[in-house]
Amino acid sequence: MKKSNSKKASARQDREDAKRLRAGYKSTKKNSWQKLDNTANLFPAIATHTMTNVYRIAVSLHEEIDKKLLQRALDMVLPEFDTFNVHMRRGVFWYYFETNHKMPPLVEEESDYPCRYIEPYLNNNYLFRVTYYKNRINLEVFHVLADGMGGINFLRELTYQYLRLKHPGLCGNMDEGFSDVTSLNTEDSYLKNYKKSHAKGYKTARAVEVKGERLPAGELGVIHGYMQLEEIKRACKSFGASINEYLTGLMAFSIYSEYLHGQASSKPVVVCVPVNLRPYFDSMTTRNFFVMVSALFKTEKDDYIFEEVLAKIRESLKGQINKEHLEELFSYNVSNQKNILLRFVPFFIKKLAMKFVYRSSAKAGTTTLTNIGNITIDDAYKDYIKDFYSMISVSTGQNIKGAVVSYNGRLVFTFTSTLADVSIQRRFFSLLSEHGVNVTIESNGVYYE
Amino acid sequence: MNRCKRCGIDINDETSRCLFCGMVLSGDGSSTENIYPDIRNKTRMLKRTINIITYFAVVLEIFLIVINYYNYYGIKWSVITGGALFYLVLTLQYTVNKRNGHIVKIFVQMLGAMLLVVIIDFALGFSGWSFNIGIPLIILLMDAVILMCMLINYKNWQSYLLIQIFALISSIFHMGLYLAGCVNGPLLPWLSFGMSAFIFTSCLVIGGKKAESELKKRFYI
Repeated sequence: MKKSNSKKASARQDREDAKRLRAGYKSTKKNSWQKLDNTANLFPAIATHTMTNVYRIAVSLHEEIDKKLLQRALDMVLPEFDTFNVHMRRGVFWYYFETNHKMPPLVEEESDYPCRYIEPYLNNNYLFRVTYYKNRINLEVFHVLADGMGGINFLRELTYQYLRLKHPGLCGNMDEGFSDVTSLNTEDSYLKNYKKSHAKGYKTARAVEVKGERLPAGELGVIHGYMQLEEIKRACKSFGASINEYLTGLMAFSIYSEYLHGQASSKPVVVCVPVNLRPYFDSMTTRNFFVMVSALFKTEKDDYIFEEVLAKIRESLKGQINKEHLEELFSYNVSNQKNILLRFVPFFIKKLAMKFVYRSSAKAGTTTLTNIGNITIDDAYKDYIKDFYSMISVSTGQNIKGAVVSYNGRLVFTFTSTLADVSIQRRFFSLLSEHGVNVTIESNGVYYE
Repeated sequence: MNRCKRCGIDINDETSRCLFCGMVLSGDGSSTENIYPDIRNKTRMLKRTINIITYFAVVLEIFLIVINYYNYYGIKWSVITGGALFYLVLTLQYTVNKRNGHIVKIFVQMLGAMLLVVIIDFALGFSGWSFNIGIPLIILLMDAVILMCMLINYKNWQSYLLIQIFALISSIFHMGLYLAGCVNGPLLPWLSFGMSAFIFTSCLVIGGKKAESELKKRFYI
């Protein structure tokens, strides 16, 4: 009882401190509204507590996080980021964003599983949350706002600002300025780059679904695998594949050998791979700008070896990752969004249709593997930053997913799963080890009794 | 650092056995601190309470239907209790649960109340009082709630334009029923329609550009 009272008193004190500290907060004077981008239109329609569409990008420092300074850093950085400084409102035909003039969300110590649902009406109506634990800063983003690149862009500036507050004089006189590699662009690059299209780009044929005993409701299992980038590159070179192809091949092979027990199946193993469209269309947007391609592995016979699976995955990816095909994929969606008849349908009906279409196409993927890529940091901050992490929430038909990010010569592969069984993860990391890559793993503890 | 010889990987967790195969780990036994908080025992009290109440509401209603069936003397009172329990669950799901904004809560509450009065009227033999008195009074109540919210949240008064439109459409529907001779009048149909129309039009006229911009956003296609 005493403990609970002292906890309450400490929480109250924290809130009062935060209020005092933030009394001078000035929200942006901007007062604009913007339409959701093409991909974002889908997320409010399909997001639920079990399929949150929230991703996490985190950074670990070499020192413990100071909550008050992190809050101050967020208060300073947020008003400049129009992509994040919004709340979502309901229109008759679509949702839309409006500048949020409320105080930035409170920075809290991590006290829940990663990638939990973000309630649009809590958290001062912001669609992201910032938490910390020991020496790690977590940014969790509802995908309606931005994709991983947009998230990294924001987290990097938040971390820079935090470090400048923590270590005054770190960058000379640059107290509040942003890095010159940070983008504040908010254009809808889908609309800007789409071309009239009639072809349906996405596959809807069913893929293998990894099922099994689940973790207790609400729990999400997380396993990080740390490895040296050089070792990964060496392994990739020995198989003549890129990092993306190699990891996708490993994922497909692990599912094939552990879930299908190395046997043929009438359904293919499909690894969905989000492709960042910015380099293909010269975009610097901080909002969503990606499409999903499907790395297909048809399990036509028993006992495939890894090299065979990798060859199939490489062939499948190569045929899809080119500008023309990527353009086709998002142009089909944008042309639907621009269809005058569909636009006049009230959103609650669109929502039902979107849910139905999403559910039928979601089963076309076995898993998703997202690669945020290599994160670069300004030299002045490098000594303070240890690692970056990324992870994505599970979704309909995809109970296990992977996310990759690398920084400073180290690659972190993160599995998120709602399944109790970890044999796919085990096979994945063991194979890496067999290929000469030293792997160290860390979990969030849900798999231990 | 601990290592699993079978899986060929190092494990950083505070554990003595392999996460994947359960084998005892070799090494110096040293490990770093867990990088995630231990939150497995955290309970979701509110969610659980709502689920329990929903369950007992369903059980109670089945029990009442059975009693009503064996003691039927012309009144289907279990329909009324069913409607009331449904309204209670709806209130808990939308109002107590902080998942929705207050405007959605007002909308759901008013719609639920309209449905409830119609159900009660139906259960009591459908004399029409729900349409004659119940629904126009609910529309008037909605107008009053909207006015109050606009006064409290005056900086953001334009947010209530959409629910005003809902109140106006409901009152027009009721007015239509009156003009078609389906409900009694003229006081309540005119009063609810007049009040809803007055609030909405005055917001449009006084609000000027702010109201125009809000409607543009809400109705963009």
